[in-house]
Amino acid sequence: MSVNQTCHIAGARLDGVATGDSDADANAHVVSCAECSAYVARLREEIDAFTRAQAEHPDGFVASVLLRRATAVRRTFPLRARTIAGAASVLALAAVVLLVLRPLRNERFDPGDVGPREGPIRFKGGAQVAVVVEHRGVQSRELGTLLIAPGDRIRVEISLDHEESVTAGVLTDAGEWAELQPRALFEAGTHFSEKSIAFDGNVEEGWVLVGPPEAVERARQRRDFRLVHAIRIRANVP
Amino acid sequence: MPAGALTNDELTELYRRYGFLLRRRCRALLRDEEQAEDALQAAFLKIVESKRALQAADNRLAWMYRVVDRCCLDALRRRKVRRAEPIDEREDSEPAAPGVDIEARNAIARVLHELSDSEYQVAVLAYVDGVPQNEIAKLLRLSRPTIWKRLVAVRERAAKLLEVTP
Repeated sequence: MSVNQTCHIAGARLDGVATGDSDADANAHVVSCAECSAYVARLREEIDAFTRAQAEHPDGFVASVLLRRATAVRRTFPLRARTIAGAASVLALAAVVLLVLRPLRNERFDPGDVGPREGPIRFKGGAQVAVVVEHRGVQSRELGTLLIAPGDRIRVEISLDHEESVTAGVLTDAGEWAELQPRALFEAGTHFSEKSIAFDGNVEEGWVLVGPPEAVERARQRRDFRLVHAIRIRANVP
Repeated sequence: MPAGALTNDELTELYRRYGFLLRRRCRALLRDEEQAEDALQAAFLKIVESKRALQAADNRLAWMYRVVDRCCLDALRRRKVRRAEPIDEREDSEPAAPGVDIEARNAIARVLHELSDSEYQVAVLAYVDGVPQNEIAKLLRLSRPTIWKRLVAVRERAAKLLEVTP
């Protein structure tokens, strides 16, 4: 076992050449060193591919971090600061929704929009998820944040382009789980969840989660929303 | 977001630009997909709250690597406490930077959780990154003999744990 004592640069200085963070000496070394140059070139390709993939289809990591942050704020702030913490959490969660679902439009408030809609969070294989909300006898098909009033009922619509094992449900911020769709193998096509959920007078905020059973389980247990479709539920109270 | 914290857009941009490298580092140090993801989230939580430190860093990537290293060490320590937890023993097959001894890197990765904080810091720089001793000394603002002594201690500890000749 030996430690590198060659003339190569290493670590963050070398990797930083690929991200544009390194100093002039490191850049100059890479230009003159075939090994380091090849390493940096390969790294650039991988970073570029990752960056492109995130721009097109974010993997939900940022949403997971923001949610974890919001949860941590709620948990650690002292009681007297709860109001502030609560507001921060709500803002952070709202930011998560805005960030993740920004390209989406809410049909209830934008009836004129008839263009194609595509959510940035998608589970593997390509699935489109919408939530059908029944409010006072009128149904609307929602793709973004759900504003749920007491008495509303929801059901999930799942469109698949290939056969996929799927489960769906509602995870409340308190951690409770209500099932909308038990684990099932769906063929390609559009499906509605077997169950619907009706909200009583006290609407609990949370998330509609749809995806492969193992990914949904992971989201439930660890608040890791990668690979699941997550739609925020907000209480629509005066 | 409070003052001194990254905005959501800044966080997204940071993840797009550095997420690949930081995730790769977590995987190299922890060799466990789930723990690596958890450590990466923990690291980004710290980074979100440290906008000023990030902006003040000479090399942003180096600063973030240190945050990731710390979060991975925390994860390794938790793993040490919960011994029943299975540890993925697959060797890291990621291509290494020029100058990194892959065999040594994999061997050290198996004992990182047994090292002290100072040994861990030096071991990661030397064996995972392949940084030469004189540069480690500069980075950590320590003398080269101190670095050398710590690396000897790391090698001895690793040899004992792995039951091989240093």
